[in-house]
Amino acid sequence: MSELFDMPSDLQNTYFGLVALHLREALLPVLAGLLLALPVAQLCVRVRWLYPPVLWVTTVLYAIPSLAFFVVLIDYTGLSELTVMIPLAVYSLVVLVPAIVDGVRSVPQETLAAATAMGFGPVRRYLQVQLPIAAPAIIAGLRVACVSSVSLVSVGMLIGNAGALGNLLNSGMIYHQPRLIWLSVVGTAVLAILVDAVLIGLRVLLTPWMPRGGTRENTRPLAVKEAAR
Amino acid sequence: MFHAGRAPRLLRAGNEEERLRPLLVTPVEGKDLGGVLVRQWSDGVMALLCARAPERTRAVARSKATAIGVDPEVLWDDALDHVRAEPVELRTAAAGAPGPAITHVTGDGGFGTGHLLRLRELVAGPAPHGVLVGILTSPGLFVFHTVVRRLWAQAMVETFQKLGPDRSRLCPQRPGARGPKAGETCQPRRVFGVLIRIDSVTKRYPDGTVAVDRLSLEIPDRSITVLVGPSGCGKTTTLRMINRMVEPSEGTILIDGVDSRQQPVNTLRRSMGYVIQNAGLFQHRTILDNIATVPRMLGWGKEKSRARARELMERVGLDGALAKRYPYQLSGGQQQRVGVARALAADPPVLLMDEPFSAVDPVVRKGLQDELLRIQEELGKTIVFVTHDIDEAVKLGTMVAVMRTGGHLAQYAPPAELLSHPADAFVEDFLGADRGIRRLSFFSSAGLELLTEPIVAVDATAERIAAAGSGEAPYLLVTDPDGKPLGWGEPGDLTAGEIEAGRLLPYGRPFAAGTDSLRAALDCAVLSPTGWAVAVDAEGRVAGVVSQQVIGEAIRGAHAERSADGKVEQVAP
Ligand SMILES: Nc1ncnc2c1ncn2[C@@H]1O[C@H](COP(=O)(O)OP(=O)(O)OP(=O)(O)O)[C@@H](O)[C@H]1O
Ligand SMILES: [Mg+2]
Repeated sequence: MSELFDMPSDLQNTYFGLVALHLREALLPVLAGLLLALPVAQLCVRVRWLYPPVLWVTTVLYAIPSLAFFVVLIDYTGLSELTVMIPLAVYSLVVLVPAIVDGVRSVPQETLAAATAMGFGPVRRYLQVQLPIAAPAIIAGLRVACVSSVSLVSVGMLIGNAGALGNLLNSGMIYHQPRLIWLSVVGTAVLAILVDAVLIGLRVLLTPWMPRGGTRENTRPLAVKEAAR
Repeated sequence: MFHAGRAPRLLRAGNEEERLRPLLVTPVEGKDLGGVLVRQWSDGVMALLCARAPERTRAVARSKATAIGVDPEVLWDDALDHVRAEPVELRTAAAGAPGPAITHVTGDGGFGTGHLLRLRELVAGPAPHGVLVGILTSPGLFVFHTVVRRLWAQAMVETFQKLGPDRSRLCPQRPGARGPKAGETCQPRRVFGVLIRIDSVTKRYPDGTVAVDRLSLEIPDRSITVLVGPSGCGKTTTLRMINRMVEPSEGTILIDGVDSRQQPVNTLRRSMGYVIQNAGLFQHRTILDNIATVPRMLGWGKEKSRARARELMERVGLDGALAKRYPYQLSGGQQQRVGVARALAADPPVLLMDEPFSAVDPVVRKGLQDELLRIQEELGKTIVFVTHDIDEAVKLGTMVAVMRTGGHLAQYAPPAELLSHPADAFVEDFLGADRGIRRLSFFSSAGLELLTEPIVAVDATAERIAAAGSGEAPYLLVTDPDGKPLGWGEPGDLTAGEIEAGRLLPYGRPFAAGTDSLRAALDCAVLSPTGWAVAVDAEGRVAGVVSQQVIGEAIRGAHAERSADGKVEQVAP
């Protein structure tokens, strides 16, 4: 059994070490992207004309190949994980910014009017009303960003040992070992599915107030919430 | 204003009030003081004000008291319940302050009886000032309120009895104490009478649209004022200028005599409930948390806010089982109720409602309207209500402001006057074709002469039927042995002992004698196949019958009388 997970020594890591590395390299950029996207999106919501140019910039950044990023970044961050993670964070913006903007904009006008009328200041209104109601849209964006990030990490193999499961794929091809290729591909896929599932779970947990199953009278969201405890 | 011999105004008589009456109206120092017990109160906000600015609160309470016709030297103030202040402080504050020594306004009757003890201490204690003439308590918002009030009244009675006729201990003359001098007549000062005053306000939107044009409106305290008019005439804009969601371009809005721009905007908004179409509930919060929003923001604490929210659910007719649900699990009508409860949560003195019931079906809407009238009756809020439905306006409004496109005021009048004397063709047109019929809602059926002679019981004797049939009525109304109506029959067809209820003509929908309006009476007569309307008493027993012709005469009489003295008296429509 242990033979199945034996790794070539040049990777300097165990299989599960690689998986953990992969996960870290995939998720930290999305987190950073989210932290960056929140204020940017809020700015776009408040200053309406800013949204199209911001969207354009994120799209153009997304179109830059990661290799180009690496070339520029290597001078500053070397052959490190950071060099891989920075472009990934930038790429996540292309999904996250519109997701947050659309989510926040989807808050019904009368809900906002009610909040204002009740004496919510702008900050409180954003944190307590707009953001929670935008949560499903934001999480939907996060799902796409995370899954694509998980698959994109592999390009890190271009700059040495920073590609995690991507390096494993590379090794498999060099050493003609299908076992390593399978481990890499299946590992990446399982990781993506798991991350996605966790995010779905998170959404269910965070939004017990979402209509589910269409019927108004059902109390399932409550049951789900109870079960989740 | 305490005219000699003036009867105390008991806005709501209950046992304890009755018992207190003689005690409170005892002449003091040769002056006949009016005793007042007022239940209709709303002071949640006042209580909070008190925590921060006791002086101002006292002034507010006093001006309220003045507005309702008391000029008290002492008002007991229990608003301190919220801050658990000691009565000593209250006394100290009172000693230095001119005007009423102590205001006692309880907004918090249910939260323990601590204030009861404090009250005793104040009454029997060494140095309260002035003369007690008024007790202002909050509306029965709290579950234990009635109980506390009773206890409280008991304590008052005991204390007064203990003091006997000698009130010197209770009311030492304070230098500069207020109060009417002998022989002085006091006019009620309407300090609180006009709560919201819109003073030549104009709103010009940035794109140049003039939504409201030099509008002036005095919105009376503790009543429902309805803004009505065609779409786009600036109703919503006017409403939103009151809580400054829209800032006026010109003019001022005075709330309780103070420019609305003088206090922080969010403080202002939290002192006004706001209800809109589709409720605008927070979809991500449970019903309970939706209602508790403003109390939480005001720092009431979680438990107290939720307790308050539960109480309000009950008040607006929502099942407590809905508390943990989310808005999407409620029907439109239920959501609207939650919207009303949420607006009432912090007990704001003002309620702004923008077409709150327009998105629900007519049956639910009627229920909500009735509920609103009931709540208003109990709480005495100042409600500004926007609608484009003239029927709703006439039903709910104490005053109705008809607006026309361009943000002009077309007419501002009580509904009865609006229907009888529309200011111009626009208003007349807006009121619709059946304005005459609608106006009958404001005429009482109490003056109708009801005939009892053409009424026979189902087990009547032949002589009785013959006697009844000899009158002017072409039909006889048959009742069951209890006196409930069964139907009409022709005297010739009715045989003693063989009257079959199934073969009688239907009697239509009866009206409640005296309480229903002439409109209801006329409606009954029109619907009845015999042209006669059936009047019933509260138990549903026949009080008498009346013909269309007699109703018509009554209508003409009422019109003549109304135009003669121009008086407007409202009857539930
Ligand atoms: N933010 C805005 N900017 C520009 N014009 C506005 C704005 N809000 C309202 N208006 C205009 O002001 C006028 C009055 O609008 P308002 O919403 O007060 O009407 P309303 O009486 O409430 O109508 P409805 O019965 O349809 O709700 C309308 O002509 C409207 O187009
Ligand atoms: Mg409107």
